Amino acid sequence: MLKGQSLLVRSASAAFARCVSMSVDVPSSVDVFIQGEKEPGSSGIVVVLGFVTMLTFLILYGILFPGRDMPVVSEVLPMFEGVFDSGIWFFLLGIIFGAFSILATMLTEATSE
Amino acid sequence: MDVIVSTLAAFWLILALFFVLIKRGLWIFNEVSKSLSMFMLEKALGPAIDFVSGRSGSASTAWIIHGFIWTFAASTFTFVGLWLTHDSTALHSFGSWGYHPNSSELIYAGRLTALFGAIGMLVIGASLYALPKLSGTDLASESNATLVSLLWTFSVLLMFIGSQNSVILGITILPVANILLSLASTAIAINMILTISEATQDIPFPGWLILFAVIGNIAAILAVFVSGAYDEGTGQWLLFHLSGGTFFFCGLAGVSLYSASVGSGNPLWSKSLVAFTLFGALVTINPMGSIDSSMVTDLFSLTSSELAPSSRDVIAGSFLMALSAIPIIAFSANMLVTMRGSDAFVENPDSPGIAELNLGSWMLVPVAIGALFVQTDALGSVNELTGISQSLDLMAIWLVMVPLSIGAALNILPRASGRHQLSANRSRWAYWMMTGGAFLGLLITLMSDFTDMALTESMAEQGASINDELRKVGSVMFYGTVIGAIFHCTNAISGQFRGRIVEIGTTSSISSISIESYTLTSPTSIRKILASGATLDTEVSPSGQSEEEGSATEL
Repeated sequence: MLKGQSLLVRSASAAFARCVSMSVDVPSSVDVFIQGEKEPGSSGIVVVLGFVTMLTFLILYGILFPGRDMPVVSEVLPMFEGVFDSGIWFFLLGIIFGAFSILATMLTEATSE
Repeated sequence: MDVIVSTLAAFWLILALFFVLIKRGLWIFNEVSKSLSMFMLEKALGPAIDFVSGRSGSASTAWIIHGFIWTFAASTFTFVGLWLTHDSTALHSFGSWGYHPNSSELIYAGRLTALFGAIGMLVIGASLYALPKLSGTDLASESNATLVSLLWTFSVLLMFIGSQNSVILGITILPVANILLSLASTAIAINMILTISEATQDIPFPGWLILFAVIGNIAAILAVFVSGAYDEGTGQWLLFHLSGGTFFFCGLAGVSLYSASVGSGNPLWSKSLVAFTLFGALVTINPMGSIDSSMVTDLFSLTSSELAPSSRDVIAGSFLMALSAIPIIAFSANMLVTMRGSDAFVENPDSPGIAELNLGSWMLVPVAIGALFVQTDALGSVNELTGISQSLDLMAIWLVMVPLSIGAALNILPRASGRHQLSANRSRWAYWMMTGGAFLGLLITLMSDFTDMALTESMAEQGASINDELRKVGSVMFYGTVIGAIFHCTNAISGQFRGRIVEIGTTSSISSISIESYTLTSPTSIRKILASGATLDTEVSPSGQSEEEGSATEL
């Protein structure tokens, strides 16, 4: 205790110490999973950054190993030769995506709380 | 033999008989027949009827949701069909699964699913809500109508399968699909007749349009078979156009006129024009649709005959098709004037579907005039305009019938289900995507058709490369329709669960019949007063009230 403190100050300090010791008893977590309802606007930046990084590495691979096929991808793609050989497949992929989005909407809307 | 006049005479006679029976009933057998019909619609189906909800509006909701999904399917088939016209081997890889898609089959599948799946289901869905409201009663059997939507959807699915592979395990698929469809149609017709038998008010003309859409189609089939014209090319052509003029035109006109009034809040502009539309649709031949009536021969398992009308048939057919301009223009004008002046457009979520109804009404007249030229050309065996028949048929489907049916369905769905679409913004996007896609895509395809015709006439040895380019651009543009249909589907489905709840005011009326007085209890907009059924002659009575504590409310 500091020299020259009055009785009032000493009793206030003791009360504060009790308060502090009480707050230590409160649990540090509520043991419940908490998730925000709304998506933060800046989270999209992280996703875009990921895509940009991926593209950068692909370009870097092309510069460092010119003329060499991509590992794994170059072995998988020939399997689709003669299958997706028309521009219509880009549109069909969109249609397939749309069909699944309709199906997913039905399922999620019907099962959500 | 004069096929057209004799068949039409039988058609009109059957319609008159139906009308008399509906108005006068079955004498002492009325109650027995109504009880028996209700038993057939509900109890006779056993446990199946318990699988569906009998809640008010559930039938309409089920039909409309099915219709939206079929719109997506139909637009997809049409898009792929249009693509394959310029790139016939684009999907050759399906050959390894034993499926060899080609352009004409996929466009045929697109037409079948659009007509019976999308337009048919949306029109019936809207009718199941509109007809009871116009009659001042409830639908006779919500449960049966909901259950029948599954049967109808199954029959349309069979139509798609049949269009790709006509015979499976020795069974011809399309006639089976037609039998199931006829069964569902009969159930709906009985349900509607039972509904109007309990009418508490005079049924306005849009209600009769809806009713004649269902029974007119049955009458057309009966007339062609009774007159024996079913095995002649002219008879098959006539059945195709009578079905188009009754089920599709009358049905669309009925639900569109109802929705135009309800959605815009304006009373129906002219009763006389609706009467002209109804009468004209039944006594004339609607020219819209393909010149190829193979859909009739496929669905009824008939032997396809060449269209070779006699000279009197050509004159009668051409005259009656030209006369059809009267109901078409009457309907279009009535729609446009009814929606006049209201600020109801895609931006206004309280009036969904008005933009689609506007588009369909605007496009109806030019497309019908184009179809009139093409049909007259085909009926007269001139065949100079055959090249644009398919594109014009697709225009009639995607720029007139689909917008009108979607517009009516969008307007009625919130009222039937109690919830709005999830997002007005997505509805707006869907409208622009579908409209832009169908209009630009089919217009560019039509340009390519004209180029083809010019090259054929000049007997050019090689086709022009610009033709393929035009068809490519046309099909890519049409892709917008597919995207728009996806937006509509997800919006409608999500709206059923999370859409804003429809608030129906105590003073609002959803009929087009004007009200004599309107009590103004709080500040409101003129649009809301008009939306409640008020007209320029309605007396508005403001009722004041004091905010002072303890004072009585003045009435």
